[in-house]
Amino acid sequence: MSRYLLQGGRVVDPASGRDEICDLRIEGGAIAEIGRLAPRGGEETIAARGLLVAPGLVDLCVHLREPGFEEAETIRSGAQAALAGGFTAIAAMPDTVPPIDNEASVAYVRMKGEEARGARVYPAGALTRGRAGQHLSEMGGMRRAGAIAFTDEDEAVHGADVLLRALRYASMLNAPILTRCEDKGLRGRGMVSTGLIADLLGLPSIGAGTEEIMVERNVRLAHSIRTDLHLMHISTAESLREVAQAKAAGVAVTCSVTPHHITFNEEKVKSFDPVYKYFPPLRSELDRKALIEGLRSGTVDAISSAHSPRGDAEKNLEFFHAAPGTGALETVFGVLYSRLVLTEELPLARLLAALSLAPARILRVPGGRLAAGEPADIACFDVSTEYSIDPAHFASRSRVTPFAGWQVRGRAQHVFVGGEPRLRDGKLAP
Amino acid sequence: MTPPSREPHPDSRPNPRPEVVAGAATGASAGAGAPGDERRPWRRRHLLDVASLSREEIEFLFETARSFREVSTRSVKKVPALRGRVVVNLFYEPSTRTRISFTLAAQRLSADVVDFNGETSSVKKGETLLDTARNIIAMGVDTVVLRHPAPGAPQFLSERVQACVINAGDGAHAHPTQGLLDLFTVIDKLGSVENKRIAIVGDIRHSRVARSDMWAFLRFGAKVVLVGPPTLVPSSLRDIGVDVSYSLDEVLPEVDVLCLLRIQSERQEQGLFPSLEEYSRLFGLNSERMRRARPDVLVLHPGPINRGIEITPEVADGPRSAILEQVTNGLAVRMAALYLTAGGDA
Repeated sequence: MSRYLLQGGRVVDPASGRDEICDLRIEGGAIAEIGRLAPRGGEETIAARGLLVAPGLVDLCVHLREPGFEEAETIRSGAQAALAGGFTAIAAMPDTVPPIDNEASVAYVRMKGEEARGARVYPAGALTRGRAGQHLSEMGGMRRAGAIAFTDEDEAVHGADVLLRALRYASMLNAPILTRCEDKGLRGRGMVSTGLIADLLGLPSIGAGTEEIMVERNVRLAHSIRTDLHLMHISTAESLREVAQAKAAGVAVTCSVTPHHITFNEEKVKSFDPVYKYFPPLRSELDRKALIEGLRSGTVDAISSAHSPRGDAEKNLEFFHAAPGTGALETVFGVLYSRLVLTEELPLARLLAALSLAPARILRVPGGRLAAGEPADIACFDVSTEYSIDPAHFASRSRVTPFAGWQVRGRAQHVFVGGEPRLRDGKLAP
Repeated sequence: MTPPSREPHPDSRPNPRPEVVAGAATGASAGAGAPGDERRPWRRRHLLDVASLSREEIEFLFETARSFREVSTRSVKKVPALRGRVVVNLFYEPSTRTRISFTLAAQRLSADVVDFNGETSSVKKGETLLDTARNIIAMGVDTVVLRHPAPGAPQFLSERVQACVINAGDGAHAHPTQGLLDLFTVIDKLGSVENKRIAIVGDIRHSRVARSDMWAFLRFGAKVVLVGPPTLVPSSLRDIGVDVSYSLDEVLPEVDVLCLLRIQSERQEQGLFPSLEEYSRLFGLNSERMRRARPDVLVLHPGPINRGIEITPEVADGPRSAILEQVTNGLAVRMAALYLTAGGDA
């Protein structure tokens, strides 16, 4: 294992509050020391002047589509896309075909993830067998095979009894449960947020209550058995009020939001452009602002790209028929750094915490910290040069993004995973 | 910020111009509004909705429609305005009158017309709208008249193909030629809709006709009230300046125009109202209600009519009904829409 000295970067560690221009030494796959350091023989010096040196980003909800939809993404292309976006660890969602709901498929994702030499790929196992929301999956076996979390992801667990049993059962496995919040009955065939815009477009809609009712229910379930629970893709102000109240009352609930819900409001769907179709749908400007305020206050713990690569055949359709979701791993940091930090809407340390420290804590995996002894999962971003987001250069197989052509700052230059430079000068290591 | 794999916006290309035979198109003389005239109010290659049309554009289209209406009274009901152009009716939903209306409109302009029935054709083989449209357009089609169940489908198509796109109804979103012909008919009968009170009655939530009518009437200064049960009338629409009422009997005495919408029994099956009988009792237009309406009230219905449910036969066929005039005017409005989007001038 080689030794590296990152020289003269702005080292920001949200866990300790460190934010200074200094050097960082990597040795034996770990961070050896941080400070004003003199180069030593036998180590490679990397000039980091003008770069932001941050903990490698961690994403708790990424869809890698393999097995089943390899034309949209593979574990390899997804892990490399993550790396290109500054991520050093991602949780792979189990909504593949067949779903990741048993030991063998968890082992498969892990193996493919290791071969990819991108970001670390942590498999998340299905909570229920076949993600059908009925019988608990073999979580114990999957945990042994390397699953780090359990979730039915885009199928919010509908039965309260099922979720309650799953929370109880998983509490012996030291692995978190992640869930979306959505009442299927209320959602119906809805696809845009309820309100004037939906009513003018004639599109079936999804009310805020569809989410809020389930946030309230899920918080109560977690509280009733004193276990922790993570709520994904929160989209409304009222949901956040619910989460804030629960946190104040001592419930071990955490939540995350997506970059698109932070960046856009429902006005975007007026174009009928399928790239703006997401579940949950884009909400009002008030909701969008509340998500940012939640990030400032800490009510929102984490940001997840919700990377949902899509092929042309499922996305380049009329809004009504198009698949929801968008690729996101390679745009998250640049877009959010430019839209939130440069505009001073959010302090840099908060953005980094939401993208690294918090998700690592929620997933109970290493990472998210820059301190001596921690694994050297590090991302260096060029925050001084503006660049144009060009989907043609994505490592992801999916070219779907709402950010094509955006001028942003914060492109990942160097990314270390376990002390190994897997991205150098913005290029994937061969 | 454009999404990936999109062709250049068609509006950025020069307008293809149909063959215009001097004086033969409409009999109107060239002058202000001639092709290439920057003041000419109609510059669109697509007709996607009413909401985005200006009053000037609509007036210009009506002017064109009036001159075309005269053509339909001649013994030879044909002008060579779109000779050599090809129009395809791309219909993904059942329709009789709209399709026939567009077909006749195109034929009277001497265009060639082809029908594509999305319900029986290659759609069943899984072909997407975009693929189907590109294939058809590759055969030299100039104008696509699209009826599709997905709101926004015509806009989606217009941003990705070369041809002119006319929306003949997209889900619950818009049915611009219907909205325009309804406005045209009311102006024709009443002279103007300025400050007139117009009720649109029925299943507003699922109605593309209501969404086009309300914009058309609002644009010309009418006072619009949407009437129906709360499950079928989105109250959010108040924000664009319409009134909402849940009682037909309350608004009845003060309205100048009643636009009734077709009620679909499917909505009852979805549980949005309890029964057709109750709907008819609360929101159906019958002779008894007509006695409480203004004597000069105008009754419109886009068809097809559910006789005895939203309207009784004696009202539909009665002296205040303009239903058949709507159909006649529809032809002229569609001729104008086909002609103007193709680049013709009035």
